[in-house]
Amino acid sequence: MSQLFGGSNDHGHNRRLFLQGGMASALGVSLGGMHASYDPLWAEELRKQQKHVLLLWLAGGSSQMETWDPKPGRPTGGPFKSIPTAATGVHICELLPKMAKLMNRVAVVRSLDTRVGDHGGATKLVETGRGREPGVDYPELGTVIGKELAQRESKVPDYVSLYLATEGHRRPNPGFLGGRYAALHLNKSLKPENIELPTGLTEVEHSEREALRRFLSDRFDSIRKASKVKGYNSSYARVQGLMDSSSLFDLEREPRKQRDRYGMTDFGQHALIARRLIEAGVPMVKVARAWWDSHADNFESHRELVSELDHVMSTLLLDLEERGLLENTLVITLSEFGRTPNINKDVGRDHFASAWSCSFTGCGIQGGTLHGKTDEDGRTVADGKVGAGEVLATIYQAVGIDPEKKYHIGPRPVPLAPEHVVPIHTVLA
Amino acid sequence: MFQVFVLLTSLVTVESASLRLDNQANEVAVMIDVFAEKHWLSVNVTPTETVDDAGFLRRVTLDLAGRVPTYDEARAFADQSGPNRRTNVINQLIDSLEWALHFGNVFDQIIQGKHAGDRAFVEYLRRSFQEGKRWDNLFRELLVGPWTTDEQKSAKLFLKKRVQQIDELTNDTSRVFFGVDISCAKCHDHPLVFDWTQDHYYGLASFFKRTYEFGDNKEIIGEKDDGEVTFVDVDGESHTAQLMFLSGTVVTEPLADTKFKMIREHALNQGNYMPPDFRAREQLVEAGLRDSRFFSRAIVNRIWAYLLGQGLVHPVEQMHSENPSSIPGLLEWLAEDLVQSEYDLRRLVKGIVSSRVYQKASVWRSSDRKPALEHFAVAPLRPLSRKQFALSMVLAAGTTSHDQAKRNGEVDTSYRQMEERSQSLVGALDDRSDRFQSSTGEALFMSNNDKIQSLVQNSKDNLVSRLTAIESKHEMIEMLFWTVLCRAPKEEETEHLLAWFKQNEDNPVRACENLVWAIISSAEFRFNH
Repeated sequence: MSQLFGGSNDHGHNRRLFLQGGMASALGVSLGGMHASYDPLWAEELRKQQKHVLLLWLAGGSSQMETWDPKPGRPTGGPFKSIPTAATGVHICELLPKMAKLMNRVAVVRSLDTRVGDHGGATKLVETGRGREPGVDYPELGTVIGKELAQRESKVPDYVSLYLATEGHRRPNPGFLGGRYAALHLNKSLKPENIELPTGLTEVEHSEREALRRFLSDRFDSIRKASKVKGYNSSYARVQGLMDSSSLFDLEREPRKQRDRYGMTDFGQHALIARRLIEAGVPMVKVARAWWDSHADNFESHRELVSELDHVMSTLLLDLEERGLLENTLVITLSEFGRTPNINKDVGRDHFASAWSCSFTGCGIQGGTLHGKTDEDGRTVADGKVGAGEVLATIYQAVGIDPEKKYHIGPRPVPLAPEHVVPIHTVLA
Repeated sequence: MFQVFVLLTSLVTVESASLRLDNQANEVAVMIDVFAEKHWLSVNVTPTETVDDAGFLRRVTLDLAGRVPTYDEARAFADQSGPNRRTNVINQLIDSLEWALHFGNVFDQIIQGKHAGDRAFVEYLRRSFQEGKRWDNLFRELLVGPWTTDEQKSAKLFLKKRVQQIDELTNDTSRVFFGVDISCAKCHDHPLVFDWTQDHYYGLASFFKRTYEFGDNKEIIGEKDDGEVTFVDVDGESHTAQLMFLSGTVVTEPLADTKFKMIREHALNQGNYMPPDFRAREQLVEAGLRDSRFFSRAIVNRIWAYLLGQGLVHPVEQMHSENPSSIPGLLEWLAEDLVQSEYDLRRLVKGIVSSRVYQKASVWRSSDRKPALEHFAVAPLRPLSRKQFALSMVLAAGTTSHDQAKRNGEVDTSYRQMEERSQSLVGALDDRSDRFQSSTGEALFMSNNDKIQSLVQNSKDNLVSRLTAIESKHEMIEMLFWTVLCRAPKEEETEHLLAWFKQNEDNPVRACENLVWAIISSAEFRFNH
């Protein structure tokens, strides 16, 4: 092994470089878990093959009228106009001018009908593709994607989830896939929990006591040969890699120009972190922007939220494209439901799951396409109705995961996407 | 008993008889061993050796008291040699307060599942175990009451958490008390298990259909005097379900007494709750205890699974005709014995832990393949539950002297104190489950969190401070192993650690802290083995 990848001195040198910072060396150490930094061609190959999913979770229910399916001039349309886009025949809300220029890369689904209108139930439905089933604890889609796309022995996390807000906060549920695949979830701060050395302990001590722990544990396992113990020990083996990944969350390492480009809003900076993570090889990233639940003052809040989304998403797409990452990254905008066409007495829109939208860009997607139609007032789906299961199947298909692949809970086969659900082919490349 | 002797003499070898460590034959234990030995012969499996004394003490203390043994307990047991020493430990543990405290937690998880953790409910269970309440009575109290005294009120919680969701109530009752996961049969006859049809699912749900919350504060869980469940089959045909228990027994409802109905309606309109004369849930309890196969086998199987790593029927919630007990005849015998003993759980637990099957080692020295878990020929590795792990860490490495508390007759207080201290650790740890997996979350927490660090940092009266006060490194290592792992260190371990201390002789306190960290994070500590 050391012949191919240089001697241990190189390893030590690179590790020191990495610890001093710098994305290039970080990339080198973390790629695919192999010390591929010593072979730049191999590193490039691995990088090329790695697929990613970036889910922009618009928590609380973003309004389809004020984003992807405007109804200007209709009684339900509200004050905003629609604008033409780079995709022929596709108009979106005027609050998305930057995205309008990029719509030839984006596919929109306007015909989501998911029925469930409460935040909890709807989130569970959308993130697992199914309704609640008492016998089975379905994993949230990010967990599945992290598991399916992760490289073996990868030193970066498989799934990073950023939800730095309180409204609607939920930790991704790994369900029956178990703790091994649970997301690295950030809620209170951008610093992942327990990623830094405890107070008063040096790095050397940290690694030496882990070696001691391993010595004691290996003896124990040698006469028992139990897979649970191996799993236990390997969770400790991953600790160092995760600690090394902590620099990915450090925005100070990005040039000011980049930070400004995304905009100094939380969402903007989180999207920047998402790009860093994807660049470092993290297969699945979820960034939540809360809280879109505009029961009152829908138009004012959406003016702000959608403009921010417009800026952040377009910056993100262009940045990923510039770095050659967009073709292997599926970027999704999704909520738990949409908002009512009717405007209530507080000038708000309420929960609405009968006809709403989501968008897909990048890996496996045919840009500039539109699937489904709603009626002229946006009250019902007129054509191309799809549900949460179809969205899930589409996501999996786009990044090369077979939606019909089965996990097993005991004897019971559990497909990734619900039975008989077909991916939305209109949007797939 | 005669049957026992016949089987015993025909099947038990002289060698295994000599391994019997106590003179008092425990009937349940003897039968377990008889059935197991017969099974091993028939499948040509040679079981592993008996677990050594230190291993036995640790295992049974964790299982019955929810914690590792204390230093005194470990050393005292090691000094004993009498043939009844293991039986004595078992008796002490089962009769102790700690058994009730721990089993309260264990059964909270079993009964409440994701709704576990309610303090009042846990205390209700603890009191129940303390007073030796029988399992059928506990079942009745949970489903039907009475819920009059303050102490009894907490028993309502199983229903209260589920009363709004008839599916959850039906499924959980079926799983927890009858060992049957019937959820698949809701939408169609169970595709894999012919025992369960939609009739069974909705038949069971019918017993719950009339349950509702009464009163402005919803403080009463009542029942209506009518209410039926209808369902649609795969062909689109509509059916009305009967009140049918899993055994297929249908409960017929007598014609309503119209006079009583009127009186009752009047009372309800006045805001006074009055139960109906036909109470469906009570009928379910009666049916469940009458056709007691499900009820008795389910609890035996669960307790077996808890102690032996998996059920005689596996998974524990998949008890049906195509899924027999892996040791033929044993589940049925134990279930029948339980019924005869009037659902005495102490007897069952004591019997299992007294058996040679339970007391098998987890080591496998043969070059042959280790036999599958289902033969129970080798003890499995069972991860500690979060509570067991946290409590044991605090006990072993912290400042509490549980030994001192035992001498002062303050076991209850000391145990609860340790629980409190360990509470903040529990959330970050991986819980034990059928599909246990170690997460990086726990590993990161253990490696880097200040809570763990402060546990192992030299501070007044904690383990590290006591260890660093010992001059001789040899003695220190001895004390460490007996306190944390409840055994003597092996030679290679002592050698390795002496070298460790030599390497770190410029900072011996720090070396000791890091060693304590390594040992409480080690696999040997993390697992019950």
